Amino acid sequence: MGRPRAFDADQAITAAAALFAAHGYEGTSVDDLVTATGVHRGSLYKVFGSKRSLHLTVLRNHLDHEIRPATAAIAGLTDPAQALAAAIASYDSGPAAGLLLLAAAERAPHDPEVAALVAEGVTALEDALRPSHGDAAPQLASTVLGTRLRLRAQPHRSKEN
Amino acid sequence: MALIDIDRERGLLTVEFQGLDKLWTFKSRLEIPLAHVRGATHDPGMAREPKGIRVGGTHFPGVITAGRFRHDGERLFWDVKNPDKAVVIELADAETYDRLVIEVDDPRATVALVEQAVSHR
Repeated sequence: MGRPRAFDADQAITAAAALFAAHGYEGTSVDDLVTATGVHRGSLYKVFGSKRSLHLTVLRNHLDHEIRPATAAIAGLTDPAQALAAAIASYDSGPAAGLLLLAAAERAPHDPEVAALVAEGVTALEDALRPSHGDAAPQLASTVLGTRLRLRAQPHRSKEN
Repeated sequence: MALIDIDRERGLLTVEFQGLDKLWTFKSRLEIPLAHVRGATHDPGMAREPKGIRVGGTHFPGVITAGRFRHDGERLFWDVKNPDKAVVIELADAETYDRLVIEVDDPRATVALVEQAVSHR
């Protein structure tokens, strides 16, 4: 455990996030992770412990570095239409856009730790919409999630948003 | 093939080798304290990794990898004939092994069982 890491864990997390967001958890094999991160299989196991543990780390990172900044920006908007548009454009986006949405659909029903992280992300969205929408914030959060899902379902969607 | 189970009372992960695998691995059973188990992953690609040096066991490349191996300074225990059903169990602070690679009947169920038994954070 005390051995120095021969690779950049943050970089590996970023590469893994893009894979999980594009192909889902089950659709991403350890082979895919080894290829995309450029990290030896043994080192991946040594640092992250398991694929599930890596996925949880990736989700946590996505919450802290994508979801939180986006919801903080949305919370600063008081105009209802503006806040909704900003949420639809920026929530659960970035290089691993849709990671949270996919985790909610695929893993949360089977994994309480994933479910807790998803709930944290959804609560952050509701809280962010409260300044502009008040008590209707939870409903609007569902609209945002639904719209993001419909955008994702379109074929030939652009790479971002 | 082996049966991986969790003994909650004794706080152990147990690996019971089935049939002739006792012969190939030179072992009938492994017991690992749960506190030393970091996680489990279904990883069919693991079997293509270099095995390193056989310390004790059996290795017919492409047929069976069983027993103790050393690779890159790490100590691995293998029991795999069919790579499609290989599960990698990562260990920490282990006196004996850094990693187990074990073929099981139902990789999905085994991974779920082990991952539920170890808390990540």
